[in-house]
Amino acid sequence: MDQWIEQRLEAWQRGDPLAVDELVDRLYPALLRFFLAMEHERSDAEDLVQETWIRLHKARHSYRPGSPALPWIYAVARHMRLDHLRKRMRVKRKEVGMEVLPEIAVVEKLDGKETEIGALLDELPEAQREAVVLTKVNGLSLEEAARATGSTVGAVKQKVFRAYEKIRALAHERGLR
Amino acid sequence: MTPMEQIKARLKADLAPARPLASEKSYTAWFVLAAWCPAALLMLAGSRSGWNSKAGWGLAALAVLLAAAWPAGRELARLMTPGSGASRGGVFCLAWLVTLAVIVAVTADAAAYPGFGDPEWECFRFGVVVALPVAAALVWGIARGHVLRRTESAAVLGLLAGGAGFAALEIGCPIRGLWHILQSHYGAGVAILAIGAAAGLLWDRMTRRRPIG
Repeated sequence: MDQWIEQRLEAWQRGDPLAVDELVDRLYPALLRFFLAMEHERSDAEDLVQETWIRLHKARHSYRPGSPALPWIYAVARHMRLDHLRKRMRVKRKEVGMEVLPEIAVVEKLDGKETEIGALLDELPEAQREAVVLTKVNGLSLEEAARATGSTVGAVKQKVFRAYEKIRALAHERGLR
Repeated sequence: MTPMEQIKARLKADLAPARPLASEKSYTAWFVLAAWCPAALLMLAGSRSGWNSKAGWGLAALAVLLAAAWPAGRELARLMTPGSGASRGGVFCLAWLVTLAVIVAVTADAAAYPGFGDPEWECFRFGVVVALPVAAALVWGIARGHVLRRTESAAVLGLLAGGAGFAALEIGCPIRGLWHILQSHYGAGVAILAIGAAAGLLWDRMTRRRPIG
């Protein structure tokens, strides 16, 4: 899988349109999963995926042929999300209270069992949630997740372990199996 | 049009070939050479005119400083690519400050300049003047990358440029007074590191606010 992506990334750098099709087909669902697990709101997640692809496209020269592809992609995606969070916080700070509340837009959310898992993930600290999402939802190895988050393998392992403990405790508390 | 098709269309609209970055080793070599260049030139000039007053401990300490440029250059080359793993920029900056302090302690003569503060800022200015072209060469190098950790990258860049200024002063300046070295030599190196970090912070803020697309 990794080698396949690496080859397509190199073809993308050479300007091959077929590589773009194949990469988007393969990685769009994975990136959407990542953002959905972190953001929950589908519209936000889709916007972030779009922005990530544009950022990846602009930075495609910075992928060094032969180096791991997934950490490169997820590092950019993660950075996009952090930018998005900062922007949201900035907007929140500037928000002014209104006498009449505007109608709240209907937000498409995950449902069923995914909501339970999502709710449990929401309880985790940001860094632990990210580690679990990258390794378990997106299937990155510990090494890849460490590279993507600019961390060490030991630190990622510890975050995942602590996240599991917390999820287990919460699930037990709520009677989930 | 589905979101996937929209993305494909946008990417294909501007699909010019993009030359990938050179290897990490090439960039490391470039950064280290840029940092070593002023020191090497001054060494050469000093050896011809007898200007160089250093010997023994001083040169050994300088060699340590120049050797430290290698991991810092490697770190800078690594930070050019997203997803290149854990950053050690902060550790490098701290280690560099300690190394400089050790060099000052080893080479300075506390008795030679007993008063606090040095009225002359000539060496400080010279250090900054040496560091600036080095910084420019390093900026030119990292500008091709897609730097995500900008503050750290710029701090490491400042470290290398400041180190070049410090090394040049250590080779060129015959004054061994402690306060002079602390203020004008160490001070120049630390000032460039601080300017680098501040510039990185500014760079980060400016690029974060820029809309995408």
